[in-house]
Amino acid sequence: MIMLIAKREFRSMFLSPMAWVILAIIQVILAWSFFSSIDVFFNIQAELTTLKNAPGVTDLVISPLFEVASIVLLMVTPLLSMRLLSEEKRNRTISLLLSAPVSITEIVLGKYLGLLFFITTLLALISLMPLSLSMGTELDFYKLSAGLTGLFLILAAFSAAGLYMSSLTDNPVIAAISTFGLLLLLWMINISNASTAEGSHILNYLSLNMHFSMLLRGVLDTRDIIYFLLFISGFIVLTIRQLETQRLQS
Amino acid sequence: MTPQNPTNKKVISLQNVTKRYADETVVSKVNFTIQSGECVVLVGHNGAGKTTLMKLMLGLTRPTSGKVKVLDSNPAFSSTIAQHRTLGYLPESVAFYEAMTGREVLAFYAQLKGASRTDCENLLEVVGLADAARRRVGTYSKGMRQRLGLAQAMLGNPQLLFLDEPTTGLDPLLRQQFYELIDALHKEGATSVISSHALNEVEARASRFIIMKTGRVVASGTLDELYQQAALPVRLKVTVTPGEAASVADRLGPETRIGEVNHQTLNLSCFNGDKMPLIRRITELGDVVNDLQILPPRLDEVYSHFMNGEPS
Repeated sequence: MIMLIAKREFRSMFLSPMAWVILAIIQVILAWSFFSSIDVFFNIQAELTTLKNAPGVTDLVISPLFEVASIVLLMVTPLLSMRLLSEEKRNRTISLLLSAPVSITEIVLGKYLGLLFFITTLLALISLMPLSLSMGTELDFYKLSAGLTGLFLILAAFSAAGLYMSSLTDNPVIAAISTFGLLLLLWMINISNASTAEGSHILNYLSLNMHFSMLLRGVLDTRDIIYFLLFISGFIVLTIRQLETQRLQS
Repeated sequence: MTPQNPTNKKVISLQNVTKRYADETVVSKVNFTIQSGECVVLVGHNGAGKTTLMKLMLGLTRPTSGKVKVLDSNPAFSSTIAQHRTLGYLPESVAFYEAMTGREVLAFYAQLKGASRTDCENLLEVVGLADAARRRVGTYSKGMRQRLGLAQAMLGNPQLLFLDEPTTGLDPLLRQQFYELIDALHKEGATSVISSHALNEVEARASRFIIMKTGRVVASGTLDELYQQAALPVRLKVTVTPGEAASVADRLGPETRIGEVNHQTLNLSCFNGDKMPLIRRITELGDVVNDLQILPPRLDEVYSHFMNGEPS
């Protein structure tokens, strides 16, 4: 049942022009960022040869690309997740889904997986850019894998938060704006952190950016992975609870 | 659709069910049971609580107080999800994924219910949407969406059907076809709960009626039982030899309630208990009476009686 709902969700994304437009815009922005980084790399290449342990193309081109991708997708994911449940409620298609022999957990997981399939497609397209460099140079595949894992986890976290916000309202625009607000807050929650302040480590731990940047640097720390997994499962459980409450009190 | 012979197996039972939203009580102390094979029609004004009652029976909402049992279990419990395979539901304002085609929508719900693709194709044919199956639902008219909704509700040969205003937007021919479909399901032992404002359509088709007013059940029973409860007068239409209507009216006497009298017809009315004596008096008039029609109160009259009167 979960896969059936996921397939429908994934397919329905491509039935609207929005998914295609989002894919195209992201590719254009990231391609521009990618070529700019390559340009910078060529300009400083001569100086790099003189340095001991000089950063490679993975550090100077691929990591910045993934960083830009994460910021762009922080703005774009709310647009993808906004309609997951809010549109079902607004169009009243949810009543047929709830009366079908399918549990709320299956509905939520199916919708989430559908969005993850789209995110994976997006990630596959993004990863083509760094992979194309392997034809001309040597890449640090460990760092590349860690970066891709980080990008996948952060997008999965964005999607889970977006799914939950979408369950709170029947207005997709409100769902998108509130998701963006929440993600931005969690992204920069440690921005004013003076590191000496009481509880600074809590703000650091809560920050999405903090955990993502560790993975971007190639540090595959289980604490970061667990943070993302907790973040994702937490929002999924909240969504299930929210829908269950709405169903019984509607 | 003709009333079926219900079995004694209780499929739905509501005990003292109340549903409140904030300060508003939409369903109040409702009690009834529905036996397997019955076709029960819920009638009532807009906002009478019919749709909420259906949602309660489907487990889409939980009662504030009271007990709802469908097929021996509480439909609001998630453990009863598998039971939904045997239920068919058509909501009042049916909505589908607009970007998908009719066939895709039906196939999606068929897969959820474990019905076959052949079922989908057959149902598309039955509801007259086979030719439009490849079109996006967004391009469908209201009637076409309703037909798709009916097909969706009938997927997997449901044993229990909940149909909220099922014939809205359907033309007379399709309404007829719809009731034939329901009839076929009833013959296979299905039970249905239909909410409808189209009293003339359901009058001869339901095995039982539940009349609701502001969240309360004001009357329930078969059509005959409702006639008895309402105690409305029976009408008799007497056709006599042309020009004799006035004299026949005189001969029936002042104790007879005589309505309209014209050249050769008289419209009379009497309470159920006085019906046979009146008929005898009419037949005693001899050859001057050419025809006699007995017109029991219609469902809409019974409905009006209960809606305008106090709850019984």
